[in-house]
Amino acid sequence: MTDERTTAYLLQELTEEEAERFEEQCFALDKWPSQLESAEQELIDAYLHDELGKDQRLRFEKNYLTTDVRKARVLTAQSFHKVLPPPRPLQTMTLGEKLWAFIQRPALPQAAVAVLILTIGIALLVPFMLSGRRPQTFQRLDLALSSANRDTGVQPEKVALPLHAEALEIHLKLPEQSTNAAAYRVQWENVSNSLGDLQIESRDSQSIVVIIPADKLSPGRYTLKLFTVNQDGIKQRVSGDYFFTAEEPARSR
Amino acid sequence: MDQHFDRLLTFLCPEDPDEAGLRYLRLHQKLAGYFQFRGVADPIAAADETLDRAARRIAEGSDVPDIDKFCLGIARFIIKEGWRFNNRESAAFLQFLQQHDHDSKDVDRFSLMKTCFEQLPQNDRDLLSSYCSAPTGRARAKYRVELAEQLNYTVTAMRVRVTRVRRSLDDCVKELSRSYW
Repeated sequence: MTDERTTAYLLQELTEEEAERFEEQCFALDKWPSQLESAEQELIDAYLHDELGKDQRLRFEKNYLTTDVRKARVLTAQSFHKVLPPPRPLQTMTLGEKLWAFIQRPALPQAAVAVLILTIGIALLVPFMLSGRRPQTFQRLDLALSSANRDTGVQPEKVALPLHAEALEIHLKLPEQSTNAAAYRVQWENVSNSLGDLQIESRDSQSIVVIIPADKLSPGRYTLKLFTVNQDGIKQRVSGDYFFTAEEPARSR
Repeated sequence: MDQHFDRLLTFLCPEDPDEAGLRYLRLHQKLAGYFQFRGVADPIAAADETLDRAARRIAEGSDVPDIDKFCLGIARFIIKEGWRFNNRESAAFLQFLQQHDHDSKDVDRFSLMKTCFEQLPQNDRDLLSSYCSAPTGRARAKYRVELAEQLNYTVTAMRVRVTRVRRSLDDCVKELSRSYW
């Protein structure tokens, strides 16, 4: 009884026979399995943190939230996440500590291991560093949040291609009500695809800065979506989007 | 009714009354777990009802090759009857949670949760805030393995601990909210 199966059971994604078999497997154990409650909690958390897909979200609301007890579980979980303080930093070994621990061990094997790691490291790292180095020159673009979409006729900012720099440095002006979030996420998309998250380079009280390497841009319209993340890790979409269009100069005949 | 109960105990272990009692309790706990998982308002009462019906059917001479499956069948039937999915207490608690949001003047559910959270031992508070702040996606599993190692738990044991502590928080909020129902 994995978490996936428990989730499928709770969302009524299993057939009737599968659901009955699942119950029988649980009931055949000496004790009612406690991992079911853990999996249920994780499902509720995923719902509250907006981590479920659209279909699962709908099934959660239609098939899971069927009793007062379950509705109360969701509301108390929401209260819990709201009051949860930020964690203390996880104590993990730093690179220096790991190196020291390595040096402390008996000498013979690690000389060979060190040579091996060094050789492999150089072989792997050099091409990676050459190809994936951070852009050094930037072309600045300032964008403000807009509720405009393609149909409203508001013209997005334009960027001429090719860029005169290695990357586009976009300064996204934050809306007033969103300047005190614990963190932000920015997703970008073109007209046909979601292009994933953009790394946030810096932020101040008024804006955040994201970088798009020149080789990631091709002619077309781009949309950047802003999300705030509160101290509980709950992500919330900020209404409105940032738009810009990348254009190549018209070719003369 | 007592005769039915005695027949059930005899059925569970004819030769040893103590062992029969243990088997009865184990069955009751599993039924309560099942009803709780199904979101029934009073899982203990539902488990009692299931075992009462099972005892009656056994006393009436039903053929029962597997007591677990037999009781599960009755429990499913009880669920289908819609038996106490919701009751006055669960409705009142839900109503409290829904109405006592941030706007509430006297008390809100967040302040009750905060009170309950602050009553936890420091190590449980640390555990919850670390465990629940895990990143999303693949990084979550890695983060929780590291956390478990740091706390000298297995990942499973840590998860069970988190579940228990969170359940105790839920119970605490429910208890504190009773005076507002």
